[in-house]
Amino acid sequence: LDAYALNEPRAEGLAVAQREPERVRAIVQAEHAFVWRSLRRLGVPADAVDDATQQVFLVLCRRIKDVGSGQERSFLFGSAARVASEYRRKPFRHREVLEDEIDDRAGAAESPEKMLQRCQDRELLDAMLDELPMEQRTVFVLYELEELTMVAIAELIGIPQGTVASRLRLARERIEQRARELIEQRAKEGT
Amino acid sequence: MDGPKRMREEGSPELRRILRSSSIDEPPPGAMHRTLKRVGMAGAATAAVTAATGTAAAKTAASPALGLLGLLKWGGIGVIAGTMTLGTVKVVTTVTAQRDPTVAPAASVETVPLVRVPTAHAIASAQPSATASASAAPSAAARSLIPTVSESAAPPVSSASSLTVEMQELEAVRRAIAQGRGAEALVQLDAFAAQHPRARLSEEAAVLRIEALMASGASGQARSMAEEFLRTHPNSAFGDRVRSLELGTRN
Repeated sequence: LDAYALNEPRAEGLAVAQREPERVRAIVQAEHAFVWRSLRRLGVPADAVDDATQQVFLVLCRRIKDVGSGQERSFLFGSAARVASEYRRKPFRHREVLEDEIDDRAGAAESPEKMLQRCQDRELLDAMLDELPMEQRTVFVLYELEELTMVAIAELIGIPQGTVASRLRLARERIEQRARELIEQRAKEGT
Repeated sequence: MDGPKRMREEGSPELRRILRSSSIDEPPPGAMHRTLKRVGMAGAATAAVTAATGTAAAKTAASPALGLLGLLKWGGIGVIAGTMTLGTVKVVTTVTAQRDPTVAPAASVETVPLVRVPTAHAIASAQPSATASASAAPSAAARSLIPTVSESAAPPVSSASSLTVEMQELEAVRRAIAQGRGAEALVQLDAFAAQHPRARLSEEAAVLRIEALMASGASGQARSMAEEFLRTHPNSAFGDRVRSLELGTRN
């Protein structure tokens, strides 16, 4: 983990950001949701994603001069992956806040049964993703959940397309196998 | 596509359902606003929140009925008609549990004339403190449209004026989508969510977000969100619209 990722001297980052405020603002507006989703899917607990997102953009502020035009998303995703790795090592990562998370978005119209189902599904997804090595998880998240193309993923994380394809294949095999196991386990627990 | 078919489209039904549960992974209202503040861009955060308002309000000032007609024509007529009242009404606004601490507490207001759409200036002046601190005193004409409050009270927020602002902001979003500016529409919707954490037109905003995602090429996310919308709002007036959008994502 880059030391700057979580120990960012905030004042320094802000001072740099103030030199290019319009650019920073534009990047935040364009990429905030992508960074937020990426952090969540790379293993940051739901109740910590906001803070982690802010940390990623603080890193951007400090390094804005080093980030070339067109490289912003790639830089942010790299930072997000490092920040997520740090969060994944923290003890509170297993805290479950999915009920609140879902409740905020579901609205009152959803039945408790459906809400519970989605809650369980999202927990299963977290469990399946947690068992992937980080490099496979990254490719899987970007391809299957973010729906980027393999070319875009290769460019985003700076690896050959063939490597993207092989990591994705391995990740899919693991996910399919783990999904079968978890579904069977859930069925047994339900009976 | 340059890779295999995605698992959420071809996997087992259980796996597809599990993968689609990731559709809830979206920033909560106000998250971008807080990030902008965290990186020392409080002014930018305010601008982000109010940009759509300002643009929409300015355009609406030239043609006050435009925003209303635009929204009405795409299907929100039932919802809007149910909440928009012409004439003079007594409004007591109490906004509780604001998720964004930068939004000022609401004030109690009295008689609010709602016979016409407020001018841009009046709308801006009636916004919460995110914009009010930098605004000048409203004109006499605009002042007549603003609820009366004591000098020490926070800037007033009337239910009706905030509804009007919501409509105008969403009209701006709709125009952006119609002109193929999907990414911009998504930014505007983020600003809308930040500004209106408990928006009355939240269903309309959700439908527009689906359209914006489609316009920006994220058909998978659009489909997931459409499916989610239909699950959570089975009796919505926008149901047919969303179903047609959902079908469109499959083409």
